[in-house]
Amino acid sequence: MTQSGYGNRQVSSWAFLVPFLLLFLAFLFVPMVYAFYSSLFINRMGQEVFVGFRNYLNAFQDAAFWGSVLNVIRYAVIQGVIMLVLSIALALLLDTRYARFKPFFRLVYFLPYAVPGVFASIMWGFLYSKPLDPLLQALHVDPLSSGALLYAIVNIATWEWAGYNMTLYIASLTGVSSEMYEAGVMDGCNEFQLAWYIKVPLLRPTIVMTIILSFIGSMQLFNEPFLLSALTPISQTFAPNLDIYSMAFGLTNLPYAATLSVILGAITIFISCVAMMVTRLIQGARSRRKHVALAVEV
Amino acid sequence: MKSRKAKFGVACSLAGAMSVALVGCTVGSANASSSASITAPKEVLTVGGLPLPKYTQKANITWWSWVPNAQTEVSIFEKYYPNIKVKLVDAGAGSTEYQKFSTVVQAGAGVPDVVMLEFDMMPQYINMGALADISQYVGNLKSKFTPWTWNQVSVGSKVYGIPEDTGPMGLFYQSSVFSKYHLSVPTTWSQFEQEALNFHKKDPKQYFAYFSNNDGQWMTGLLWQAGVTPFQGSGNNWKVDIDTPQAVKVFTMWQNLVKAGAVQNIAAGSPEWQKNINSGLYATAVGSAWYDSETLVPYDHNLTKHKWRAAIIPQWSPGNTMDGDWGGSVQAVTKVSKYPEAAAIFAAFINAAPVELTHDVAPAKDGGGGLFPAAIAGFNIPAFKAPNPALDNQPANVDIFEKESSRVNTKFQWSPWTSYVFNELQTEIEKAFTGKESVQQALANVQQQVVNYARSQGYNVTT
Repeated sequence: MTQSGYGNRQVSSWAFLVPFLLLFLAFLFVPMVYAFYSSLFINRMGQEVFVGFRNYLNAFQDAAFWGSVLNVIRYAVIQGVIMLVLSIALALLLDTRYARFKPFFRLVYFLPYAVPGVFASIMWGFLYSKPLDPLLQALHVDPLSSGALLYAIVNIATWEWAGYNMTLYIASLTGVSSEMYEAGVMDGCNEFQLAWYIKVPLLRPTIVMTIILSFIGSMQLFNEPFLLSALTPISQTFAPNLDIYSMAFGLTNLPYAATLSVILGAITIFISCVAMMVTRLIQGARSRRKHVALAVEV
Repeated sequence: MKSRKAKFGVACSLAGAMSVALVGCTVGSANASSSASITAPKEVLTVGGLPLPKYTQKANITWWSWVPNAQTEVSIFEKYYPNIKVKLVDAGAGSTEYQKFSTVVQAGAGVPDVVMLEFDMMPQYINMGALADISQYVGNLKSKFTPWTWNQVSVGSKVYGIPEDTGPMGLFYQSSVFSKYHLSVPTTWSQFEQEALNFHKKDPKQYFAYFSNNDGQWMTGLLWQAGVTPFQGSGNNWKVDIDTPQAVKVFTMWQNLVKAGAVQNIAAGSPEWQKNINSGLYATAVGSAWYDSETLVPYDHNLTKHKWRAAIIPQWSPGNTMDGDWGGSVQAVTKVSKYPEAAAIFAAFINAAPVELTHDVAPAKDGGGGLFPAAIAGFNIPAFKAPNPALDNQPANVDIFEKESSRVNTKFQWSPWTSYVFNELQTEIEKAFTGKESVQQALANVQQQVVNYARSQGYNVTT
């Protein structure tokens, strides 16, 4: 009885996993394997010719591609820091006892996320057009000039995603038992101390998750520069995905596009793992310090 | 058809366009092949002076095109070839269409029989093996087309498409501004440069012209007009020579004018550019035969006030008569087409039969194709010769562009990596024009990148 009951449970858990696994295999795993396979060829006069890892050798010497990777890492760091600080600040503000019209503001901050990225980029493209905007003219700022472009895109992404991340933080804050805050207040915490010493530490797992998601998202940067390139010259090597897209669909060089995709995927996975390990190490070190501190007090 | 619309669209810089190839040595050999194909045992039907094979089987073909009012071309064709049914599909214009076309070619399904491509895309698709050699059906039509266009659709004796329209370049200018400031139309680029600097001093609020910094096809047109031939070759063997002294000279002039403030460095198609065209901010514009219908008519709503006119493009050496081409398309037959002969007949008929040309050259807003035809017979059609209301009633096709058409440098070839080249060119020229590097360095970088890329793809490249 127990045996077969256990077996049933295993069967049903697999049954629950099947839809996910099928989609995962069909839309992630198989395309990844196929991309890797394609990257071992070149297309020469209509013929696929096997070249082994030569595309990878070329890619490692492709300064433009690596320039685009560095550019997008720079973007990921700048955008990630600004957006996450802003999201945490908004979430903490809306979580205080003094905040009024909370549902309304939650909705307002979240709304930009509901605007599809393509529309957002087009809309911001017009807002960034200096001759159409008296404010920019008065300030002598041209967000679409080559020096300012990266920050212009940081701004679009922050506008779009800050509210979304804020919602994640609010959700994890709502899960916290109010007793914890009451205890803090009894001990004489003001709102700022409550936020800094209680809420932020509790948010840490969510923050780690959003850092990684935001980083992965940034590495995929595409829509904004793609659409803004109608308004201002943007090199295809501004971001790796633009480069890959123009290789695949502009030049019809699918093997090399596949090569660059595989490399970009590997970089993203590598950096995500490093980010996760670093956070674990930091957290581990903290909790060890805490134990030490407690032991000393005792 | 021009590519302008497509490019100005969102995806502009991406695909831009691509290129072409032509192959230079074709002139003699193509003649030989055309006589060979005439001997084909096909009965020839003559429709309004166009010798085409008779086609008695039934055929259903699909055609991708973005020419305005293309359905009318189909209706006219089906009257003469009732056995061939043509299904017209609007797969988007320019780069949008190329992306779809590349995808269906790779997938091997959903490939049209006839596809519209710009000249600069031809070598890429020829090298991909996407296009069929149709010389056995239409090789005899070579003499019906402006010579350089036939070079661009053929490799040796093989023919990969039928030229549709072209864009011989010219200088457009606002005659209202020119008479107000007593300017004369420049015939050399050094005059152009001098006038631009003087004009800017007289009226610092206006620009003498704009430099289209997001359009590698237009920049390449400037090189073509200057006699630069950056690519020569065919198949696997290419010579790449982009950073020539002449090319440096061309972009240095524009760089100086941008630096002096006399020319605006701007993304053509952007809202700012549209606004400036409409307000008449630019005294001149380097355009081509379709520029008035694709740019001035849609974006300048003050045509009667600005009084634009067209002129022969300025020359780099006084007394020369050299021109380049900017834009223009081909109707090509795909390799997987089940009815290559029917498709080839269709492509040839719609672009060279006089009954079609009358429709093709009529303005798009009057229901025509709005094309500057590649077929020489198109130049004799009354609608083609008529005064152009968009150009202050100047009969610009006869006055300017028919002449310019015969002056387009026939030695120029596109490469099989056009979109790569355009992207590099745009990126590096923008760096030069914003003071980050010299024009010389910019072009040397383009040269180096293009050569590296081509070699990495297994091409045999010399420099």
